[in-house]
Amino acid sequence: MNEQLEQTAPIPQVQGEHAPILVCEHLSKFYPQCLALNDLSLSLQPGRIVGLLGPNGSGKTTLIKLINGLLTPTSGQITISGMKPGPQTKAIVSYLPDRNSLPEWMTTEELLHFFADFYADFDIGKAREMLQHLHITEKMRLKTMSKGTKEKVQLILTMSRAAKLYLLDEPIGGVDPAARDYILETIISNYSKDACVIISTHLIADIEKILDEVLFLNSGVLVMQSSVDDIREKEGKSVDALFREVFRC
Amino acid sequence: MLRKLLKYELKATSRTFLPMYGLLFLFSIAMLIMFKNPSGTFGTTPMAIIGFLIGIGYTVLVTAIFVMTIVISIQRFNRNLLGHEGYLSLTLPTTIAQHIWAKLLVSCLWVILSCVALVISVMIMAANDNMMRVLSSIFSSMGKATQMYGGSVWAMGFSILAVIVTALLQCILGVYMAIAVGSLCPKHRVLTGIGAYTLGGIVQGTVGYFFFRGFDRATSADGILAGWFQTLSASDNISQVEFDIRQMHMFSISLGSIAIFFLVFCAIFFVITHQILKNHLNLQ
Repeated sequence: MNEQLEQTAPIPQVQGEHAPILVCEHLSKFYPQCLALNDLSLSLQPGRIVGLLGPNGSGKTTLIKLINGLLTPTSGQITISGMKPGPQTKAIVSYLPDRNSLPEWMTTEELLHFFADFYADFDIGKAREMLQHLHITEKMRLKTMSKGTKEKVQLILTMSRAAKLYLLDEPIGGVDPAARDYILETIISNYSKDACVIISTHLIADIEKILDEVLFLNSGVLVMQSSVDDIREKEGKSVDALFREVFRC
Repeated sequence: MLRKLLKYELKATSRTFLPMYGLLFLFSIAMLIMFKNPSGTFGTTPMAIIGFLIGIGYTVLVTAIFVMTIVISIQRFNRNLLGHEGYLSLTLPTTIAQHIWAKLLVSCLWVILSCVALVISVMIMAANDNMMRVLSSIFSSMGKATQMYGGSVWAMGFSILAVIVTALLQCILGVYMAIAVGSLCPKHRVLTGIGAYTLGGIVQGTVGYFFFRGFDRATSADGILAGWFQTLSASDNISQVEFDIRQMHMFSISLGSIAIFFLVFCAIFFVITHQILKNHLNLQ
């Protein structure tokens, strides 16, 4: 392991108006032949865009799925705004999975109404505006769309919510470079300042410019939690360069 | 939230069922027209071939509706909760119990509607003056029975309905439980699910055997319910109508007991499914 890596202590919980939005305490997830997460502890404050970075199989998607309640932890606990994952946390968490999860038979219009029905914080006007900007017609059925277009629709639906915590698992991996910039602008301009955005991605160079903080995961262990400014000042290099150095094959 | 889940569940499934029912009714009308010839024969060979094909088409449709009702009930639970759509469904601000109820109620509805559609299609095919007379005599007989036997007829009807509905619910919940148990073993999901369903059936059969054996013993000569049972079975010093009413009560109580038995297993299967999805979910 690179000597430059530091296992930093989790950011201590702060009471009052800066209470952490997400706290993981000694979180572990064990599969029959694999330890996906190993005693992970972290605390994230609202108002931050956080990059969840790591090589393939490092546990990024596992962590995101645990926060969403789609996996059951082997040990440890997760709280979102002080609550365990459940219907109340799902009402304040907006999740973009790394695969298409939308029903293929639905049209974009039907999906807009679906999200508006279930999520009180969904802004249908904002979603319509973003769809128009990307030339996606509301009458199109999902099954007639290309993979990239489906991903754009999913992202638009996710970012049109005024959630407290956004979990974006590979939001720009499947879209063209021109759309990537639009998506990143959308993320910055559409999340509210008391929300936290966690972005898991391999395309670090593209998203580095919007990140406030990074979490480096390796083999299920949190090996670094640091602000982007600290990395640039102390390490004297970009996050992308540090990542390539730390996770050199 | 349950109302919203029901709305979208109906929307997702009606796209398959409603066109099938529509097609069934069209084929029924075609059958009525083709086979309306009083001599029972076709004028020409092409007409005979068309009649044959329509008959085959109708049979295939009836089979398809039956199979699709079962397949879609299983598929909706499996795909929408434990497949890729689970990433959307299980991150909605709803409880697991609401998800199970939504799937269960809509599956039941389609089973009932499929049966109703089949009955209507048969009535369409058999539509003639005689059928109207038969239907009218059925309704008037029911009216006379109600006049003679009062609420006992309705109690019998409700108890038959209760058994049908609870049997249907526990069948569907048994499948859901099997799917949920199967999800605990991702490498052998189908095998584990079949094993769980089989085990559920064996347990239910065994418990049912002892339940009814116990009921039989309780109503025998020295059983705890012997007196009650003899009162209901006795025909001395009572009119035939009174005796029939007592028999109907016995029938209703027996069926009611069976419905309660099914309801207990509905609860067991529901709790197992709920506990697995709530506390042991590992969406792949």
